[in-house]
Amino acid sequence: MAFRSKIVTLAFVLLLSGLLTACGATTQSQSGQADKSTKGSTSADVTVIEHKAGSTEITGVPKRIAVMEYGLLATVLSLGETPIAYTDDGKQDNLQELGFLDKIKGYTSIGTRQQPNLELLRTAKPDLIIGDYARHKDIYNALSNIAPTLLLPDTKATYEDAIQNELIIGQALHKETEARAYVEAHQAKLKEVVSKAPKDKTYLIASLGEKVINPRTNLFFQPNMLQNAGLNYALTAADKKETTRKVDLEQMLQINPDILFITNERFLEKWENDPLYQQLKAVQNNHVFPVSHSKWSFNRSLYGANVVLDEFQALLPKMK
Amino acid sequence: MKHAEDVVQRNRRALIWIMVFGVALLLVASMASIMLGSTRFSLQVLWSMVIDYTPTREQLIIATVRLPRLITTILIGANLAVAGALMQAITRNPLASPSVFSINAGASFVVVVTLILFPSFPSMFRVVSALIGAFVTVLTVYGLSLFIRWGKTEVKMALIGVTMQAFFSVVIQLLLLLNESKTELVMFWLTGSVVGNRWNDMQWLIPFSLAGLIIAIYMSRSASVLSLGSDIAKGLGQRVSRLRAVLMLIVVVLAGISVSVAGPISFIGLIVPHMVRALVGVDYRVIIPVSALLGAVLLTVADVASRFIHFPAEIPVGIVTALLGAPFFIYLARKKVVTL
Repeated sequence: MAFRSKIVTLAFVLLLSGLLTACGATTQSQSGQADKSTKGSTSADVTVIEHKAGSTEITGVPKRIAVMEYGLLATVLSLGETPIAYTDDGKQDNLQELGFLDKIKGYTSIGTRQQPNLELLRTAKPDLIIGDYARHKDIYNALSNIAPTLLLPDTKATYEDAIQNELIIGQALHKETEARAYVEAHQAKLKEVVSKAPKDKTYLIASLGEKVINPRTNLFFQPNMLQNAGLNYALTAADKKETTRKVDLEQMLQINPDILFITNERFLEKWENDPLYQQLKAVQNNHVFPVSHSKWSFNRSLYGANVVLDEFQALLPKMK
Repeated sequence: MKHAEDVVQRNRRALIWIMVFGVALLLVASMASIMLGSTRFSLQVLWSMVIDYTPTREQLIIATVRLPRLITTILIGANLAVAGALMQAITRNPLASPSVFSINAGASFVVVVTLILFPSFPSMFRVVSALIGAFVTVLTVYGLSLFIRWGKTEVKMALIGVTMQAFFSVVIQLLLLLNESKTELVMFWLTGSVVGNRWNDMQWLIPFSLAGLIIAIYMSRSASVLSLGSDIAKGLGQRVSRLRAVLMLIVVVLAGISVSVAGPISFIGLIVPHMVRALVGVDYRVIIPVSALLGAVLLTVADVASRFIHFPAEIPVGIVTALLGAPFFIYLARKKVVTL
């Protein structure tokens, strides 16, 4: 009997909580609709932006932009706008290294990229929120209640995604011409740099760990760009989702690229002491190039791509 | 009398067979571990290494990647299994293992903190931090258990251990959340992996493990007595709290050094002592050496299996042991009669 009454209580609690969440959801969506209808009627200057999580109406030209991932931040900066809020994970070393810190001086920190602080975000009073689809799709509704929100691919972005991001954000900021010009300038630069790079060589970007090496596959942003531009990238993904692989030197010797870019240089010394490392073709030909982890691993944007291309170009004389 | 001697004789013979079989299994697993992987080697290559060592690529891979990895795996498998067996003797709890007392979690926590705050510290520092983490955790668990007035010490320690483990895992999550760019480095280690260990990573593992294992075997008689319960052990003239402290210290060393090298590999310390008890009975003088042997076999097999889950990428061996261990844990918990 006691057991049964417990079951009944449990069922009741579940039912109640279900009802409560349902109510919550409806009120949310109602307020959302109300927002949209008022905006639609009061202003003629409404842009509708299609993006990965749906379509969003933006009224006027957004001036207070909140951004929630590095590549998207770079894209906004590339169009000459300065975001007022960013998810800096509570520290600024990466922003500093990427050279963004000076450009967004006085920004409001709104928590971590993984879990943005919605209260801080609300008090920052943004008129446009730009988030990462992979990270923030579950809080899209909550974000939309604060301000019009665009969710674009960043953490899982391919090169093609970055081009689209530039154009979409350009449209949202009423800077379509600038965005298109930026894309074209970038493509010209990519073509030029790649035309000078040796075509008969294979390339690999890998991040060093203490005990494993993380070579990026051709689906990772930076390799994706180089491969699309016609370079011979050394590691092809085993499936559609594999952007990086964990390996030991054994597997590295099978990939054996001619030219190897490595990030997390602080582990290099340890690997250099390994006799197997010395067997790598790139090592024997002096074609290992340490590069910045934040620039060659984050910053999946055309802006970031240009930075990578600049460094790539500077290294070209050493690749012969 | 005659009958009893017969039983002893028969047990001894069974034990010898189990040991022989275990050693044979270990040899087969070791050969597999050296020969299989992203590059495969034939017996000929192995043989050519024995007779004429020249640093060709093949021989270098075996000498600098496969062999140290194999020895690391064997030692850690043995360490964790023996640590688990000792834990079960100390707590008289069949579900006990270094992870239940949150020793692994405590060691991992301190290591993750040092990895994130001081990423370029040498590996020696990690050994020290893992041992400190394990030791402080045990002290904390034991200290807290003294504050609780009711119940038996072993039960209280297990309860507090589980609580601490939950606490540590949350704090580790938090650290990773706040240091996302370092997740790639830490996560692989946190699942428990033997990849990438070279000879110079083993300079601490080998002495600590051998010392720990030998002392464990030396103390196995006392462990047997303790496993009868503290009242009986007291009655048999053991100084129970001191004995418990010494055995815990061995567990701390064995588990701590393993965590410092390979991260928290789960379930080996739980599964192996049970298999061993099912095979050889309740005498810890037998359980401890056989656990070491079978622990080494199990982890080596798991490591070989881990190379083929997502070939040719390396998958942490901790995932394989967890896949084996979780169902086993449920089976154990469901089984009513457990002999200790």
